Amino acid sequence: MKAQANYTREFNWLDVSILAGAEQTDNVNQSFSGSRELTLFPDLVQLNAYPALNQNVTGDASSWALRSYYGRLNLVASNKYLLEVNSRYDGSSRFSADYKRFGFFPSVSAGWIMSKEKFMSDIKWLSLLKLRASWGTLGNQNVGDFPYISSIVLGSGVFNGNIASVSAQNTVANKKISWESTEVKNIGFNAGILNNKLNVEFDYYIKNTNDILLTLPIPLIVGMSPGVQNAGRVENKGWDLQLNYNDQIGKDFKFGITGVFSDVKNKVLDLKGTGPYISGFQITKEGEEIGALFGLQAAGLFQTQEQITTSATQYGTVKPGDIKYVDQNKDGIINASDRVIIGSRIPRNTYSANLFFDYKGFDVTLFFQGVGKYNGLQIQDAAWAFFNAGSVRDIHLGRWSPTKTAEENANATYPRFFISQTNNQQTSSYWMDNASYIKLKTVSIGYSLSQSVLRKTPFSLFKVYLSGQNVFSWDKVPGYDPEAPLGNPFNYPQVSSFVTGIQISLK
Amino acid sequence: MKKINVIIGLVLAILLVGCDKDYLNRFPEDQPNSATYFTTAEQLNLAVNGAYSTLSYQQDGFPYQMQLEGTSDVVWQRPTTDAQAIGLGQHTSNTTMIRTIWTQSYIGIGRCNMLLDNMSKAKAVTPAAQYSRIEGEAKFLRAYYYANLISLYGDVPLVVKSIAPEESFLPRTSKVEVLNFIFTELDSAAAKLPLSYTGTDIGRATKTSALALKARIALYNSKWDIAAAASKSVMDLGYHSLYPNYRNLFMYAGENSRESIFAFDYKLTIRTTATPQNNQARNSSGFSGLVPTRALGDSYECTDGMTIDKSPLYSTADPFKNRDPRMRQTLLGDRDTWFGAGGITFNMTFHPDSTTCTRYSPTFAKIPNLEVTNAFSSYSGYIMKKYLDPLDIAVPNQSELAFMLIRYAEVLLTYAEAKIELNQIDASVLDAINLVRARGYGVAATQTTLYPSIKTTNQTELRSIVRRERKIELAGEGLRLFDIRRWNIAEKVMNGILFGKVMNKTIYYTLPMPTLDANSSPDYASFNSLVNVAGNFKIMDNPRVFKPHNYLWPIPQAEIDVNKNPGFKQNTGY
Repeated sequence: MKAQANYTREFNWLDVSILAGAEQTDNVNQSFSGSRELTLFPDLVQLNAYPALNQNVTGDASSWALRSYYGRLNLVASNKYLLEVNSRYDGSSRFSADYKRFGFFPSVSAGWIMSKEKFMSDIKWLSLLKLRASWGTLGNQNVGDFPYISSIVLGSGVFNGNIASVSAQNTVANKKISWESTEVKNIGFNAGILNNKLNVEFDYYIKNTNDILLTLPIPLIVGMSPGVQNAGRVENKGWDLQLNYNDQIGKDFKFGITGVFSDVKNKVLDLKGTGPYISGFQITKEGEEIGALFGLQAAGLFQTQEQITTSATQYGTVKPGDIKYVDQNKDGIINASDRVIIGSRIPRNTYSANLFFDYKGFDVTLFFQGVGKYNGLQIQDAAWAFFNAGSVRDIHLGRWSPTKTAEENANATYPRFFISQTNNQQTSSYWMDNASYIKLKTVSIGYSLSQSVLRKTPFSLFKVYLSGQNVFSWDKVPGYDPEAPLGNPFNYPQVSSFVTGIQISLK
Repeated sequence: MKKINVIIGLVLAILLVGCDKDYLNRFPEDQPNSATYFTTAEQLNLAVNGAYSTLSYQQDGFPYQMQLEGTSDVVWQRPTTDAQAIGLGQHTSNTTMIRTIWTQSYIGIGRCNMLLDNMSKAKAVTPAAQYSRIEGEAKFLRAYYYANLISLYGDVPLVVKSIAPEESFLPRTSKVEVLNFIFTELDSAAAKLPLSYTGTDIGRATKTSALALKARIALYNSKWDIAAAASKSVMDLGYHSLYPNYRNLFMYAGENSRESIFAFDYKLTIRTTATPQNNQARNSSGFSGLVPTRALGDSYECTDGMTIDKSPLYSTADPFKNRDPRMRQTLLGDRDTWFGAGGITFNMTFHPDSTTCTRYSPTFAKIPNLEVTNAFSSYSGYIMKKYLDPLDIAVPNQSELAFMLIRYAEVLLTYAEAKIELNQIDASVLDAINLVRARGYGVAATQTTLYPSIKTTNQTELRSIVRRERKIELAGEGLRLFDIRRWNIAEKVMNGILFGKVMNKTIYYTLPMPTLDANSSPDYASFNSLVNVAGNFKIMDNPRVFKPHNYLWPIPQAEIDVNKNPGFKQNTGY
């Protein structure tokens, strides 16, 4: 439900617009399902035609609500100077009324269309130059519907063949949570060059997220899963650049290219004195990226038994061909204290390019996407030979082996074969890869009959096309998709697909 | 006019949106709120039921207690699981099984704590007997979880009430202090729990559950007098008795017998195990993953009551002949008749020449013998028969067979061992051991001509006998790891090469003889020359490693990483 009022007034050189409103949103989710199985009469589709044995009924409902009040002031002076001021006051059902249910989020932005100034009128090749800057805040309540309410979960158990209902509180509830707010400072410009054939858009931003709602690990002896807390501050500093060039050669050849480049640096500013938080392969700690890869630093493979005896004690029985680790704290033992940050899961230097060509009804579109700096880490079935009675792959031919020469072994790309070897199975930089890539994501080739040919036909459009998705990937990772999740993913990889077809419209 | 419209519009908007103060108060519609919970008798019941759910969980498809045997010398796990890694001595503080047992135990403790903290809110509206019973159950379960924790990890944090995350940076409490807490709790629980239940309450913890657990944990910590007294209380109550058929005890026919003191049950659509699929022979739709070892097989006595290295009745050509019947009832091996996929019965053999074997029913025929042709059949030449029932053959990954966590035979052996260690050896001690031995032969303890009964009263001899009884009677039930630790024999039995079935037919019937020590641990030195020849035996682990610091498991790394208490340290060696 929304109620809004709007006021606009044009003076001589100033356009004013004021907006004020209130709205509330209500989301209710209800589900109900009933099922039975194994009928003797497949043509009958009602539940009663199926036997009641193993019948299954479930039902559930949940809801959340938002209530907001907002206002906006818009000023445009001389069609050149722009100012906008916004404010919101939002309340969510996801936060307790006893704590901070409502949050206030203002923002302001200003723009200057410099190309309209008199002193710019002589620069003919610059059709548009607009400078802009803004500062704003926004709230986020993306945490699940009832994070502050400690609820009891119901379930079923068994006593001597009889089903019994059970209940337990599985998650710690936290009343003291409130809106996560994001503060963005931004400056940038838009430019149109050469009669808008070339368009440039550039932004530099500093985005700080405060009071991030995170599920931070808690001691296991609490006996419940952790709830969410407003935990800290994260800073993202980055820039985006978009270049777009559209042109035409002669009457028939049109082409265009759009390139998007961006990069962002992420840093955890504050964890309220808590942390570092280690979860699986990743660590979140102050001064570093969120979820940086955390493990032992590998230093190649042991080549001789003597190297093993003169190095720090590692895990289990270590033999030549096993991974050697760096003893970071020089205490003579390799253990959890020797883990360091080894890589990053935040893609850096990302870019994409969209090219299209059109010549006499024949068109080609290509879309590339790439990441310049990224790390993947694969273990178990995805990386290790013979794991879990699995097979061995070509990449394992480069293994260290006592039957190879010392020179071959010095360049081994995989340790000596192991089935269950705790030393080689530790999380380490040995299993981490450079996952940067360029992918040809979309290709589309089509041919459309011209209007002069179609005039005598009942068609207003006749096009034949071939398009492909996920066509090709140039990357350095050994045998898996650089965009794959971390660890040992048991999921389908991305698929390449090709579609060919005819598209027609009738007059 | 315009201005007035605007103002009216705004006012209406704010009014419309601003009324209904409760609009933003939303609560889950399928879960009660903990603020209003624990106020009726029914809710207390549900809460205590919830505390049972973490008694066992599936580790790789079957009860984790069965998996624990894979970390000992009597059972081995072939798939690369945590149990195998622990058996090899390669576990670390990051091993999943080590973390899950810790986490599940504390979840169970947390549920008991929350119930015990809050149940007084419903005291007025709950019948006194039910209230007392629920309190007893919660105390028993909490004690059970702590007993498990101290046996595996040593000193652990003692949490006796619900704690918030901010208050949970606790130090490790000494094992002795936790043990005393366990004793107090079990005494209180035993007083509150009934001897038995009727109807849908059957399966809950009873008075004897609490006393038997007290006896077990006292024995594990060498508190012989407490162990003897607690186990004697169970025996004197006269409610429990040994189930007459040892094999059937571990099948559906023997579920919920008078021997079962505390069990964990399964049911289709709620929870089931894949025990048959994991353990069964290849001819019986199984993976032969968790298999008994040669060391277990060689520990069974012969029918004259002597170990195989001393008895003239033993023959390496037919190891199952003239042996304690429990060997055949526990281990599936050569010359056994077994049930297979599709409801057939067949002759079991691991001999390398037998690429086919004989099927007896439904018709006499020769069928392919997967035990020999499949590369992943039992590596040891044995299959663990416990908890395998023909009723599960059609759907081996959804067994409903209940798993016994405590049974009467253990109580009798605990009594005997405690009294032996106290050197208070009398007829009751010999009776306790003989009851267990006679049941293995399917006869009564008084029929001393039909089984090798124990007559000696020598402490050293009896200690050896009772330790052997424990090893073979309780094999595969999740208790062996604790025995090899407390008897300090783990380094002897867990170090070295673990080899299994014979792959070379020329030596199949002419193996050398191992020698058994006072703890019935076989010494395979006489096998060394044969084992070192490739292709003679199936090698299972080469080698297993057990170092002195492995007498305790490490505290999970996840706990160390999060617990800020400076006094919270890892066990030495990890």
